[in-house]
Amino acid sequence: MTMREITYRDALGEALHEEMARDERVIVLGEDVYGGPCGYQGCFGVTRSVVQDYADRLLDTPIAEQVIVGAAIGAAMCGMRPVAEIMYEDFVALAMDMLVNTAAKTHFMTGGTICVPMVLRAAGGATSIGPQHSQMWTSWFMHVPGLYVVLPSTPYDAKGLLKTAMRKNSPVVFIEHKKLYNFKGLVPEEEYLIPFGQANTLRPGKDVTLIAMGYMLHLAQQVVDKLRERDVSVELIDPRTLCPLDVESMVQSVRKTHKCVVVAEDVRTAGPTAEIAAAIAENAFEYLDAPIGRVGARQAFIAHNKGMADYVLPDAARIEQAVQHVLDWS
Amino acid sequence: MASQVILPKLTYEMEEGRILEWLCTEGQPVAKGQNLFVVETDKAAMEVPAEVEGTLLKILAPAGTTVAVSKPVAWIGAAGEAVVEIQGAEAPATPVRPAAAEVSAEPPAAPAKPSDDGVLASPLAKRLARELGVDLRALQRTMGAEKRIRESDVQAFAAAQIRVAAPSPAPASHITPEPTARVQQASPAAEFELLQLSPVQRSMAAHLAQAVTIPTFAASCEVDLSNLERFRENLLPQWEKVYGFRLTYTHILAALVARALEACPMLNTSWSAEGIRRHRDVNLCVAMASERGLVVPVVKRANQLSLLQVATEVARLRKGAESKRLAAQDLQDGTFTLTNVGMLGITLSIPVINPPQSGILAVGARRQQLALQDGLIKPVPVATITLVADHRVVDGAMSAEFLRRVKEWMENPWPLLLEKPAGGA
Amino acid sequence: MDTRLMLQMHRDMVFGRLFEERVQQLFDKGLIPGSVHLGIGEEATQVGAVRALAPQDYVCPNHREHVGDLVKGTDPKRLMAEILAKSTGTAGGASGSCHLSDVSCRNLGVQGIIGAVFPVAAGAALAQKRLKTGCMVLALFGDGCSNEGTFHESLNLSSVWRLPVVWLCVNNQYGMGTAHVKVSAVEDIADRACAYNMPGLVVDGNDVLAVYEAVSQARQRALAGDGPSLLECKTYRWGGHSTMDKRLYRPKEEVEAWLKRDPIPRLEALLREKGILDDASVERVHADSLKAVDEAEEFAMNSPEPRPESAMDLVFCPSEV
Repeated sequence: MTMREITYRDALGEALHEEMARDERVIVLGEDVYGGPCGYQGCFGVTRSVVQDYADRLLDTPIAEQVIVGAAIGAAMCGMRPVAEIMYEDFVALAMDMLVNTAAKTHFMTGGTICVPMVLRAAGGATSIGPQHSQMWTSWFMHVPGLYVVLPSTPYDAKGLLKTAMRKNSPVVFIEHKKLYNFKGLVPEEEYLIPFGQANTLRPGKDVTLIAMGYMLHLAQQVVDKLRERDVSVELIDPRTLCPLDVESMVQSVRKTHKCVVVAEDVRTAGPTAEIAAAIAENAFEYLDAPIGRVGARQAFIAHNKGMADYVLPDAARIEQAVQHVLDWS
Repeated sequence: MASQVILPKLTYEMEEGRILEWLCTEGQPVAKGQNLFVVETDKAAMEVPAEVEGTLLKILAPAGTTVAVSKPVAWIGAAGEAVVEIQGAEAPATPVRPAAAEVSAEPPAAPAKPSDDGVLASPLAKRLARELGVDLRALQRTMGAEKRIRESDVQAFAAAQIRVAAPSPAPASHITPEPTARVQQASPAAEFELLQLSPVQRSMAAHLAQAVTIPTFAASCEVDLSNLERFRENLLPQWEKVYGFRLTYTHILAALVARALEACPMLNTSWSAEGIRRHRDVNLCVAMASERGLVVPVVKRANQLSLLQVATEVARLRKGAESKRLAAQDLQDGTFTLTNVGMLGITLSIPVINPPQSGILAVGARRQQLALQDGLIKPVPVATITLVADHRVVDGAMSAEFLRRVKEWMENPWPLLLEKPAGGA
Repeated sequence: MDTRLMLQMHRDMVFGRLFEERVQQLFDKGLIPGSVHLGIGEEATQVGAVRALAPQDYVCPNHREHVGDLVKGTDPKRLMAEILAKSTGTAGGASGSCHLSDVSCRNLGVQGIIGAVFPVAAGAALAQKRLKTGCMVLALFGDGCSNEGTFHESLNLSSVWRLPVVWLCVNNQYGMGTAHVKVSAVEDIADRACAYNMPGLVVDGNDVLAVYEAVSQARQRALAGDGPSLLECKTYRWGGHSTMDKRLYRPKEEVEAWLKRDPIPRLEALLREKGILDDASVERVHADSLKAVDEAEEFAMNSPEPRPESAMDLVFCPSEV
């Protein structure tokens, strides 16, 4: 395997390019996904990678989220393999009906005769643009039967998971993180896919299991390094896909470490951490030596002001505090 | 040809309706769409029109009656037409749709366990305490009431218990020729090998230690084995041929002890401060050797089983014991124990009661004895059977009665082959 | 117009009406779970529109399109079975009438959410254009539906991208219990076409031949690459919104006026005048239709229920990765 360092953005772009080369039925619909030679070529530049070879398959749409997602559904039902790009995860709310009532349910409602092989990509997470442009809504999608939910945290994961998503025959909600587009990481040159439902254990450990996703994984890494200096061995796990969720790996880890903390950028209440914590408690109850800790955003909004936003969002300090809490619990 | 007027389904949830008022009378001509009657549904009063044109021949459900949806309420036809009372021509019954099943892949919630009164411990700590035989209440006392017990606390407490229980090394004798008066602590390597206790050993030790608190007594008698041996020898070849396994003495003993217990319910009991629990079923524990040591799995409801069923079950449990694959329920809820120490060549054994049971029966090894029979001295195979019982529950008379019955069965085992009468328990 | 085609459409309408009436009867007997929406009175619109399509064209119907579904090719036995929630239905009992689909005759399915038809039909048309299939999409929607936001988004997009779709509004004057004129800024929905730079046309929805002509032309336009059209068929539903609606919100005179414009006798009168139809042949058509409806009912009634656990089978579509 030849590894090279590329950005999260370019890893996604490579995935798109490879899959578009492989299957001519793949198209991308979204606002400003092309815009011509001097256009945006993707609000976050992801589609830039395919402009040279596949500009004719990048369809710039009006600002109309319902029809962006709905047309992707209709085209998918008739044999295409569309990727719908919604600029900010917050805007997916506009297309929730299409996603939840049509995309997710069509295969079932048609008695299994029609599939909806589409990917909905959106950029989530907070970056000081204010309350309506900062959300992570992972739970909303996890809660809907019939939707795959993917949260890549690294360039390696982004490419492998997007390729898999584009080959699935059911709708996939693929949430990228705005802060990660410029993040660099090692990605093989050779083709590879990452299957859904496989959590990634980044660091083995024996004292506590730390489960973190998306941008939070990077904050969690900092905490793991810091605690290692104090001789605390933390096992770090990234679920990567929230549906299907690899509960088994996380339970195996907790059976070993007996303590667990789950971290997500989403609001803590009814966040993905709640489902994961409950699943672990159900399956590893008699192995737990402390209650399962959960870290998430406070039940409030992400302000434009950075201090206010940081107060609400989880950070490395709060993650460390949560880990220390389960270690010391008595 | 006359047609029926049925009560239509007017709202989502409607299952029946009460006819409030008829707007037409029998014999009156009605037009299609003309309102015939008013019905009260779960929501409101509604008018129901005629679907066909004709004469209202007969009203079947007068005002005030309640009718189910799709049931007939009247007949419309040609004037003067006779109405045939066809009972069978009713609308088919509404098919019952099962309620949507709860879609849940998660395991059902575990029933709430009663708390250990004042013990604050993590789930892991509780499990470990069970396995190691640690008394959580005692541990809590040492830690203080508001401190939570965790894994490390249980481990430490269990280790301390072993240190307390282990004999302290003997101080060196003053008479030793050693010039130094220093007390020599014997090092483990020199004087003994420390065998770590397995969780099973710890828990069995803790369990049996409880037996010391029970006031027991022993009673034994001698049994003539001639018939038992003949019984088994007769059955042996056919048994193996038909059922595929060997019939052992333990199988036979288990079956007959279960029947004896049925006749002597006071030996199938457990003492408790609130009262003596006389168990409904005879769950007979049968002692067995395995790689792990002594295992005592349970034959449930042994008194209700035939000889074949008991033998099959004991064989299954033995297999489970040998392959270390006994389920929890195979080891729980026993009410009496049988230990066939005769297999090991022991002639007399006074076993330890298996708390909270009230009795345990040991069957000793076969030995030859000379007896006087029909004026002649003959060798007779005999064995000693010994009952150890909880004297709070069992008295001398009860023990004698029980032993008598066991002896009776052992000396005449053929009735074991009789089927239990149906309906009997 | 071709005689055979007119006779076919006559048969379609008669059969469709008898089918719908039978569904109403079964509902009254409590045999149909949930709700059904019958198109009695709207046969001309449904038949005229769907007959104008080729078998390879797609239809995105609304919830009141049993007649149209039958014309598109759905087996009446399987349609009845689906309405009765049996395992032999078009979706094995999963969809019922409100979410009915039949991919074997290119019926992409009813969108149970009012308004969802627009983006889905636009997407289906997008696929036809990009894959160069030579097929088009007919989207059917009611007057009430045309006020959803997705109408705007989708008609706009279909026009900008020149998608091969015909937007056909079945204006039966009422959205559930609300009169169209009370909640719409313009009375003729076809007038909105100019906002999207496409032709808009009002059609007598109770004249099956007129509907057929209008849809045929719009279809040709779509296939020629000239983009979408907005057609509005003015018609009336005889029954309530659903089988349980007693339609007390409509004035009696209005109902009676529309009943007089029954599309079936209207076509029959025309065909009799041309000597193509007589009493005997009308009788035959009725008898044949009734027989087919009876067979559909019998099939559905005798079909088994689906296994309850089958609810878990179709959550995800299988794929190779």
